[in-house]
Amino acid sequence: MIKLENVSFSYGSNQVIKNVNLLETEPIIIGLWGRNGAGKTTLMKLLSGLENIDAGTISVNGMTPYNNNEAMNTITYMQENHPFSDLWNVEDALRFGALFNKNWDSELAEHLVTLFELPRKKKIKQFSKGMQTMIQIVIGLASKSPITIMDEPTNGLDAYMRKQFKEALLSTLEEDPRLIILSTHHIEEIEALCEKIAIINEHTIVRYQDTEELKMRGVHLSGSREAIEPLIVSERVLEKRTLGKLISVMIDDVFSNDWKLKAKEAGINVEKVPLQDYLISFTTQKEVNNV
Amino acid sequence: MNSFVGPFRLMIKEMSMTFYINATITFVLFIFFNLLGVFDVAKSGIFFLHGPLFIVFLLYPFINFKGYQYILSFGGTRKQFVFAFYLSSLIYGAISILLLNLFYYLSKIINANNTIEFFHLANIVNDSNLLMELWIDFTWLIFVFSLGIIAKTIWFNYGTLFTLSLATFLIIAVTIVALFAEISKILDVIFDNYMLFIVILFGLSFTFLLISYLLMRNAPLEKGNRVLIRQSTRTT
Repeated sequence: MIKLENVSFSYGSNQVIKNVNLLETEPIIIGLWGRNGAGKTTLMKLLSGLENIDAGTISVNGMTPYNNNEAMNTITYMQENHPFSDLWNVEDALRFGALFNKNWDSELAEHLVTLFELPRKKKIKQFSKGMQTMIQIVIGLASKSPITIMDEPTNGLDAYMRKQFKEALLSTLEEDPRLIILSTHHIEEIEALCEKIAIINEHTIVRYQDTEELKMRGVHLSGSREAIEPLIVSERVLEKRTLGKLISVMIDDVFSNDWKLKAKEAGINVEKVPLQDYLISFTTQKEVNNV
Repeated sequence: MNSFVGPFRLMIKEMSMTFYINATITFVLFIFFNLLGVFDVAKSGIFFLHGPLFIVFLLYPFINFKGYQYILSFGGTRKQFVFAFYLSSLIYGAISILLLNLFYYLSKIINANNTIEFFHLANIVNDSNLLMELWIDFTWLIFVFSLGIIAKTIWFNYGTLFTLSLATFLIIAVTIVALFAEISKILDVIFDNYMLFIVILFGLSFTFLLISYLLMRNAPLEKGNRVLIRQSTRTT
């Protein structure tokens, strides 16, 4: 469905995407995680054909997306602050959604508008942030594009609406499987939905892995320096904090029974690092941080 | 469904509000000028009714360029934006010209004693007919629109600094021509061969529209982001 090989892209002399490789052939939900400025938005623009690559190859359903009407018809990209005309209300947005997307599902669109309690006649520009996110979700899901990309799809939604969004997403995917890419910098908001997570750091994808495998990574050890240091000699330390004779470290390894056993024997504390913390430490340049 | 329908309908919608406002302004002016004639306030005079329409067509590319973002964000292409914008402008242009000439015609009936007269761009031609009047108006309108679109396109592609530099250069060039060339001869040629001038105007409009299309088909997403001269056109 999507294939990127050594894709690079620059704005003038500023390289924002460097040698990105990604292949996905299954209709699954992918989470795209990266810190601010990592290149998430640009990558999504390249995938959706809004920008053209400088080097490498990019293929979406076997087609190059840039300025390619046929390819762009198979992709829907809902931006974080999606541009809507000052003149449009919800009904206008749905009408244009139907005109631009050949797989448009009017019934689903109507259902979602009702579900999200969106006022049909009110101008979209007057919507709150959460309501603007909702209309983007409506268009993104009702487009039924084989590839749907949504940038920060839970931005501004309250807990109830997030739940509604997740249920609607899973329900429509069950009916019509398709590739969905959800971009975020708060992984906990979407990790339960995603089968795989792509981590983008310093303008390239550094990991593309099953969510379950990724969630198992990140071990946090705390206790006396003498007990911990021998255990981490051959480990990749992501973060290290020192307080007198005590230290706490985060290492890049799978949280396993083996670690629980080692910790018990050494008399130190061990716990699984939350995914978001692991990703932040994984993508920061300072591997060791002495305090 | 044809994939052009979406971009086209979107641009028609975007331009509609400005068109309605503009048509209303022209209608109000039409009523006002005719009242001046009916009540004999203006003993005689030439009034310009086409002003608002022509000004708006000059500004349309600046007002409605937002359609570019909307079309791209809904999955349309740059080419679709350009063609949809051009087609919508041609349609609104044709309706505007018909409306304008309808007002001219009604004025002749309302003001049978001809105390007021509207200036028509075809007045320069001695023996014009309705079709010729429509054609001349339409050509001027499209010329005005093409001026707006080429200015906006250059501004959008190359940014403010480049556009202002280019504008400064053009002003200097025109000033030099005005100072050192015999403008009166050029004007004579225009007025003596007005229909030929109209054809040249149409050709210029076409050229401006073509250049704008060539710039926009690979235009950057944001204003001024085009690398000077060449935006990457690589396809793989």
